[in-house]
Amino acid sequence: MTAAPDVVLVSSSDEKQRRLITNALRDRLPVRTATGAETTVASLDDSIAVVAVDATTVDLSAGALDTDDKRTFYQVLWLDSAAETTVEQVDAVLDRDASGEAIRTTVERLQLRARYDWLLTTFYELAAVGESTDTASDTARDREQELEAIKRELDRVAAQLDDSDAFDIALDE
Amino acid sequence: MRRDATVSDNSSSEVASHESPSNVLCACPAVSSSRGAHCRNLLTREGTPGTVIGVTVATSPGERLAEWRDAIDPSTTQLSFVDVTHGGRSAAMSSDGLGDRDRTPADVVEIEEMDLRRLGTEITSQLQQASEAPVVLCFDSLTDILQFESQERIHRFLNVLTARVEETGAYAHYHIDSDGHADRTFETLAPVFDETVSAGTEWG
Repeated sequence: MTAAPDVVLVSSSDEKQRRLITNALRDRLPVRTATGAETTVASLDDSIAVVAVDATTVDLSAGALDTDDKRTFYQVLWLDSAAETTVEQVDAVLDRDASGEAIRTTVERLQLRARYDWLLTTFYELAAVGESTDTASDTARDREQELEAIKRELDRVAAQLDDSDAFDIALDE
Repeated sequence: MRRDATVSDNSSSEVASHESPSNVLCACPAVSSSRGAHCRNLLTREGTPGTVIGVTVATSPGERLAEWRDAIDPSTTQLSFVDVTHGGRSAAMSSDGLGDRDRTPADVVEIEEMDLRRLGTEITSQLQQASEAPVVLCFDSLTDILQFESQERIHRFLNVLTARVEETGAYAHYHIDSDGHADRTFETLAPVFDETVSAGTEWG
């Protein structure tokens, strides 16, 4: 089982904006930065929980971030002044001039969504592997304990999400 | 804690004697006396329910009320249904057995077509609004929704729903046809629930 995604990728070619966003997040979340479209897409691995795109300075479309890779769980925060990209295309949209507090609150919510998605996928994959025929074996006990631990964590995270977020993530909408 | 309870066809299920699990998978043949017996026992495992929320897909609210006749008194229990209508079953069939809607003992919310998001938000809304405890949810059935949606999607949906049941302090059971699916399906779905009750081996 891979580790849960927790990194925030901040994508901006504007150093001042990059610093503003990373300063708002760094004391609570691990942050990486990218300065252009190519490095942003190349950085989207399974450790990324949220990618925050400064759309004014990075030439990216929302579609370019929509990969078919089932091992990634990142959520997309779009920071823009033109407001041409909507929450139907990404996971959250904020004005580029949003406060650090607003960015932090939104990123933490998106990180929770990404964690829930990862937990749901991990739980299903482990459950679908099937039980060992020898239910007394250490492997069977380990699997059962792991399933119980993931279910407890799923319930804990679900309690922090509203119905809209929880069903959005669960049903991949 | 997850457990399995196997109960014979004619015995009463003993779920109430355990610590009360929030979410129970009820795996019995679709047509069997054990299915009804388990359902009635699960409905009343915490005593007379203050609120019962029924979810119906292939069955109708009227059919469920008929099955609960000996366990639930509509004059003392608030009854509501979330009823999925779809191509295989019309809204008219959904009201089968309820008679005159103005005098029906239950509120019925119709959901057109199998829309898991709408189904989920309607159920959680009713769980949160229920004022008379204990609140019991009867979901009939997972076999029916598995005909419309993938196993993985149902698994993910149920994780949200079971979490909401637990958060609201309700008690839910979810019917599944024990003869209708491969063993792997039960093994995959079972970890979502606190406990599985099933019929005895005499049917096998």
